[in-house]
Amino acid sequence: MRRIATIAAAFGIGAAAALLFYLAPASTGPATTIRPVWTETKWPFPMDQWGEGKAFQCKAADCGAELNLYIRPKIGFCSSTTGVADDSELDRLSDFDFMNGATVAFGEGHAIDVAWMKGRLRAYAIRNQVRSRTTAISIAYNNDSDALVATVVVNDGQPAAVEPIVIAFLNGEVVRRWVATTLGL
Amino acid sequence: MTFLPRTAVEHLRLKRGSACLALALLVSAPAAAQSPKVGDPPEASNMRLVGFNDLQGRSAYQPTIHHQGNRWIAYIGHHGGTDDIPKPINPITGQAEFNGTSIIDVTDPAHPKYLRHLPGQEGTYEGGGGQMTRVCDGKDLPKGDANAVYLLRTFGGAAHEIWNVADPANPKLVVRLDGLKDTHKSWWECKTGIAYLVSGVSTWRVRRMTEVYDLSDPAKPVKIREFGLPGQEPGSAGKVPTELHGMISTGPEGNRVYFGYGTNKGGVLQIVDRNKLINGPKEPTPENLRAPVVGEMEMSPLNGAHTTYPLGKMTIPQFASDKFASQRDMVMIVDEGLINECQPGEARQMIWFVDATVEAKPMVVSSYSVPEESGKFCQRGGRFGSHSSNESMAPVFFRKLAFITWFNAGVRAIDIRDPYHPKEAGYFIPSITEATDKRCIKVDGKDQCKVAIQSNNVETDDRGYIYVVDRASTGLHILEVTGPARAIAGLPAN
Repeated sequence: MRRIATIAAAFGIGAAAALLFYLAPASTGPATTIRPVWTETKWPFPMDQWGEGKAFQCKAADCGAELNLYIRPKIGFCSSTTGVADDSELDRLSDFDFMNGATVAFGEGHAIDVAWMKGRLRAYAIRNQVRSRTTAISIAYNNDSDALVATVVVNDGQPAAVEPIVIAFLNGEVVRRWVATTLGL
Repeated sequence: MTFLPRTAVEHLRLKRGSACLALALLVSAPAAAQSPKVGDPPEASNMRLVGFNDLQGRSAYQPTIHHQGNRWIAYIGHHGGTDDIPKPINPITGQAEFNGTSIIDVTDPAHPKYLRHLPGQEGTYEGGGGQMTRVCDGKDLPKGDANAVYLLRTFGGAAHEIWNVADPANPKLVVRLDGLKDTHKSWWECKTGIAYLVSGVSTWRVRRMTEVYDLSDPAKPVKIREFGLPGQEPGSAGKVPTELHGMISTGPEGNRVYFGYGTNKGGVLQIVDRNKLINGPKEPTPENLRAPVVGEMEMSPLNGAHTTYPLGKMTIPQFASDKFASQRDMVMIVDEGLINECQPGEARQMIWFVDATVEAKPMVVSSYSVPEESGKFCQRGGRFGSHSSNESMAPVFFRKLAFITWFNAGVRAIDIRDPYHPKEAGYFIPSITEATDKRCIKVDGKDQCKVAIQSNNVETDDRGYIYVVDRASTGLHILEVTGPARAIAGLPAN
């Protein structure tokens, strides 16, 4: 309850719907019936220190919720010794600017595996969204000292429900091939 | 490049000193060669080699040169060892020791004498060693032992340590501040004892932030406060501002601390009121973190701020006749290049000169970068780009020449008398040796490695000697300026 109160205080009443949506029981539908179809889209963000990455979209009809995924490398920005060890490191690596508003974590993140790499995932609520039911997932994993940072903006979906879809996509051939090319592996 | 067995490498290291001095006489213009070879002469202009020490083949970071009694002692921090040699042999003890701090008598710069290796934290590269060094005399510190000389150093990323190095060959541990997650390049005011320690306190959201300490009595450290950019403090959320790299204080006289955040990206120069920092409200709230800040400049996100070196008030030659603002308050920012062979992920890193006359609105007015084509440096191997400057403010070079390490482009002497128009006055690119470590990039999934000098950090002493150390384990090169560069410094012709 303390976490809920913290998020509510941070977001105000306007985002209460997003919070309640996140806390609602996860639908079992997407995990068993969806057929994810990811389409590459144009990188929508202006140039910054990390340069451009890849952008993909999966429509609600295909993924159970509209997912916009942005992924890019952050070369040499991760400890090859400790990797993405905790939420502090994940927050440091995350592309919060891609989330279209102020964010507050729903809770603690957790460890993930993507191909041969290890990393961490955390879900966030977004403040000041016109669509109150928009949330985001930040994922960071590393190959030696190079980090790969994925940001997923989730429209009308629960982060926990779409997480397996996202992880499967990151493990898929398209992203793995791009990672190998980008990191010179 | 064939890598010899370790014993053979050590044998060659022992024989190398005299050969290097002989090679120093063979000076050439920058070569167009793609990758240097052992036996190639150094490349130089208006700088020459005076002395050399191999630092036991340890990757080196920060040198501090201290006038200690009638001697000059160099304290040189090291990165951790390499994958090939994680724990080099100390020839003095015969023991394998994790990299830490080299202590060298450089009273005679032509014949530096290695006194002691003080081991550091276990680990390789940035995961071990003891990169940072600062030194204060006990007689200068308000509550120090007048007979002591204190070395402040990092112990890997985990701790800060203070050693009594009054006898530099036999240091004695005074105190350790540990439990940290990433330490780095700190600053220590010898006249007040106030230290700005680059630390990693576990509750903060970045690996590196500032702990301000009163080390006026080094045996009894007193923590004053924690400091960083708002958004980095415990309990904050969302985007994490760029983490700290280091700072330089002008002490009570100047009442400013210049913080550099960012290393190679998202650089921020922060100008802080020292008195408000030390004596203001200490709880790390966003308001309290903003309170002592008098000016802040966000750099291009493509560049970082490794070193923020205050030059103070300088008369700008072209403004000399102006009745208003002919003097400007200048700061030099040095970025750090991190990526080998100009590969993706990083823009060119260089140095910038900031006019901070109006402290609330600092502005970059000039820059300097080594022309890549002058040495085809992107093809030589290892990093190419700026890294660090000398931090001594001794009169011999202050506001006249700045020395900047440029990894495979060696050390550069920059004429900064007109900081609106900095220009190169000299350079020295040391020769590689059998000890120089390789640097690799991935090509089609395989390591493609080259061996090149990686001039990492530089410091000067009051006599006008320049001390350059190598990240790729080549050693310490002691240099002096010659010709026109020597004239800029006002040193007698040699």
